[in-house]
Amino acid sequence: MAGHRYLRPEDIRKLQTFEFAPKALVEGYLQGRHRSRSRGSSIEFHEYREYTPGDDLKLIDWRVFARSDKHFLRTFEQETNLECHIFLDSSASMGFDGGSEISKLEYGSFFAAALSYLVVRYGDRVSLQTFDETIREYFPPGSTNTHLHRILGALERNTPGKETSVAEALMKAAPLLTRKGILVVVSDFFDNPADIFQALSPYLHRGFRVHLFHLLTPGELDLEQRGLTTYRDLETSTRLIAHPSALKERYKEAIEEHIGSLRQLAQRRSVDYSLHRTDSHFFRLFDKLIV
Amino acid sequence: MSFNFLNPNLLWLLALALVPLLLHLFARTKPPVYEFSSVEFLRKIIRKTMRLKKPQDYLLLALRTLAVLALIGAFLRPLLFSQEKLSGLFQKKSLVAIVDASASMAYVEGAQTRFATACAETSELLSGLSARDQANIIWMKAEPESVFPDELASNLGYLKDQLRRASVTVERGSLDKSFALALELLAEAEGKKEICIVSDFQATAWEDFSPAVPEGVDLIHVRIGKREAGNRAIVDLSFEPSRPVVGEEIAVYAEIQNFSSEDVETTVFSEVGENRRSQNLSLPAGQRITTTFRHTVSSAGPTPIRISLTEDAFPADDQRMAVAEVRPYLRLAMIGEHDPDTARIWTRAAQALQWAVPEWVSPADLTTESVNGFDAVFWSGTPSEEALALFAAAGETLKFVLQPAPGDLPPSLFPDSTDSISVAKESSGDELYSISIADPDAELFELFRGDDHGDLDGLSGKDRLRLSNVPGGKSLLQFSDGSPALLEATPRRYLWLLPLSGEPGNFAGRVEFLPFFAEFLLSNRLTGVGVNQYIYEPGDPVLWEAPEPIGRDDLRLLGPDKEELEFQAAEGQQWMAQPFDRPGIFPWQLGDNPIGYSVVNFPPTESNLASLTREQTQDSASVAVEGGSEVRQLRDGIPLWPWLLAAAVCFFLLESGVTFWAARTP
Repeated sequence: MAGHRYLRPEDIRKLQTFEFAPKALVEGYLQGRHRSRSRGSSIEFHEYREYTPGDDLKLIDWRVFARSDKHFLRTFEQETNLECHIFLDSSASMGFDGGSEISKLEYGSFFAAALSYLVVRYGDRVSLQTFDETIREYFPPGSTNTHLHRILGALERNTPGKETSVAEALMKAAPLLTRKGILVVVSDFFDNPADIFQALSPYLHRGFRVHLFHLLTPGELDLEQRGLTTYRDLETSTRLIAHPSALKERYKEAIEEHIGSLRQLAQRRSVDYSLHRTDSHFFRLFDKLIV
Repeated sequence: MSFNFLNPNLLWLLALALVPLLLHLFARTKPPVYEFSSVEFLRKIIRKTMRLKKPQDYLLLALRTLAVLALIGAFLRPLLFSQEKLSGLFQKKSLVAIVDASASMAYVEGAQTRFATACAETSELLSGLSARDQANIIWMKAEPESVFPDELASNLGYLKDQLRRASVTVERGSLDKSFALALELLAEAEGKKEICIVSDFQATAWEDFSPAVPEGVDLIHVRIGKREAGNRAIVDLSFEPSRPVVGEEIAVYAEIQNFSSEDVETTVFSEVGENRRSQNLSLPAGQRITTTFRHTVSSAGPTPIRISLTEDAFPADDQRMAVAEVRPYLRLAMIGEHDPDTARIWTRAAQALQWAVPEWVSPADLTTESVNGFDAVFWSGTPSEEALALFAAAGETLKFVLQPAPGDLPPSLFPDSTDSISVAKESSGDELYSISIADPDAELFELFRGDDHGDLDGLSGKDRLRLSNVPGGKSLLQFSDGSPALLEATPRRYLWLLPLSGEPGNFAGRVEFLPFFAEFLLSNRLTGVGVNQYIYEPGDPVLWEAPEPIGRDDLRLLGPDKEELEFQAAEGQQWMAQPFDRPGIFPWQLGDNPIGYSVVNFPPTESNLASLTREQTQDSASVAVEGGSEVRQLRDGIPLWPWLLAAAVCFFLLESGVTFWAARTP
């Protein structure tokens, strides 16, 4: 695994100690460690259930019928593999470092690489989607090392794009995901919170476990002290002359209001939401993800 | 109003006023570019605060520009000239200051008199002049005089010294003479010519003063004193009769005026000879009251009369004086040309009175001097025009009673009539003429309104004199057909037309005749200030005429404090003295006996201390100011740099305040 920018050897060593398991059970395509409530014919007995018309006759336990003269079906729990879908915001605003050593995109890329490695390492499937106002690149779920290399290569090639539209990207990606799993969205979420959660609705409806990782630099959380400044928007190139000291407090209130709005909507929709400063280590993101 | 700059060569600094604007514009366009992830939040915030921020920016720009302008203005040292025509910076000036030294300037306001204030303000005026300027001072009084006799001079130190030594007079100020003198002094002067009148501008004296100011002369009124000053004064004094007789009652009339706007209680004292009376008076605000004192004089000769008030803040006008020439008896001239009987009856009646002495006089002996010595002339006959001219010259102090002879009357008896008037003698025959009182309200009949002195009803006579027509006058007694029996043709000129002799109806034989005759002598006597005395105001030239030729060594003139004063002979029996500088009674004495008086009273025009308003003292020809320093400001301009400096500091402080406030405002 050596030689990849976003998956450094020291990170791999640390990740050896991580045991990746999602907080919730997911349905897997391959048999794995993760139990699924999908009832099937293989693996481990789960319970007996009384027959109802339409059930598969092959599942009837005739021994029980012989003893009790009643039709009971044997049900089993399947052990299946996990699918983890990583959505990495690659808009222009993610290229902002705001006083940190790395930009938000780099920070998110480190996290995406580590998560991919962890998922593949445990035999689960991982997909990656980079987007700005639309889907820029998509790697379908896979669990092989080759798949992991492709993802890592894509992350290295990835550069900040155009304007952010998390909601639009999510809506466009929904048909691509055929199986439910874990949806990990890494973004600065400079979009309308209501639109974002409206775009998440199909995923939630289909049973996806959604994790939103909100990345902001220290300079975005708190305006830097500087004189009269021409602010140029990285996404729209809009220029705005302002005195940060005059706006500092109001800006802080506005960004906190935005964060609060995201957090409130996430809580209401049972979505995991966490805010992360880019001056902290990206491993801390796993605290919110791994049991 | 105009401006001038002491440092006009620094006007280019005004361009610096653009610096704040340029900085403002520069600061708006050149801030460093900072690439930010999203300016959407910033945009929303700015959109909310833009309404506030923009006015703040403009306010700061305005404050900074004003501060810089004020600072530059201070360096330019501008001078403000509120009266353009007085602005005379750098010009040579010729100044004549007319300082009001009249009596009203003695009023004490605050710690000093108006005059002292006027001198201080004039000194301030002079301090504003440079070494090349010239000036003079005119003291405005009855006879104005200048410090330098005929010209202006540069010796301002001497003028200031004179101002320190000057004292106010009790004279009235002669406005016209002072102004004329000022113009005379300025006639040959060079440079910018100014006349500064430093006065309290008494309303009574200055209201109608509007001098013609020649072209090229600036007239400045420097006002001293407040608009109002409470004062009460005795403004007039008279007494009657004008020539009282020993034992006769003198009525002294004093007019007292309250010039203040508040009611005042005061005590008035009257002193006639040794007699002294007093009255308490309540003087309503702004009102004039006449009060009367009655004294009886017991000795003949000149008798001083003095009316005084309780002293107030302006005591100079709290007394007024006169001298009554008390005569031992009335001198009556009797002329019986036509009807000696009537003249004899008049004479006998006069002889019966202790205070009247009749003297038979021949018309040919009448002279001006002899006529002036009589109190009344009783003439039976027809006087010549020359004699009537003598009586007219004697004035109204002389009572003239004529019983005309039948025929035409001299026209001068009735100067208002164009018709010739004749008189005819008529006899009633068997029936007597009845005579009655024509004017019951006349003073003459006051004595007979009671029963103590008889009754004038039922008078009658056999003969009478009848006028061809009655041209006017006032009938005192009349016949039953309305024809006058005793007619006052003109004031103190009487026609005696009633019979005094003959039977029956002999008026002279009745008991009422003597009191009637006495009343006739005493009634309608002239009210006045006496005779053979001279009333002056301080500063007036003094001229006194002796009643008889007197040698210089025998005559003395004394002041109110008995000090001897200088005098010199004038024409005839006249003597001349220096103008008196204070009110009082100045006796002319022959040895130790006063033979005449010169009385000096406070000029009544100076008693009303109310001043004209500033607007009233200022017109197109003059400028009114409140002090000498203001004249200097008008002339030399008001330096504005301290104000501009202060304004600059204020603007900078305000700018700091606004900046601080803007920084704290979210």
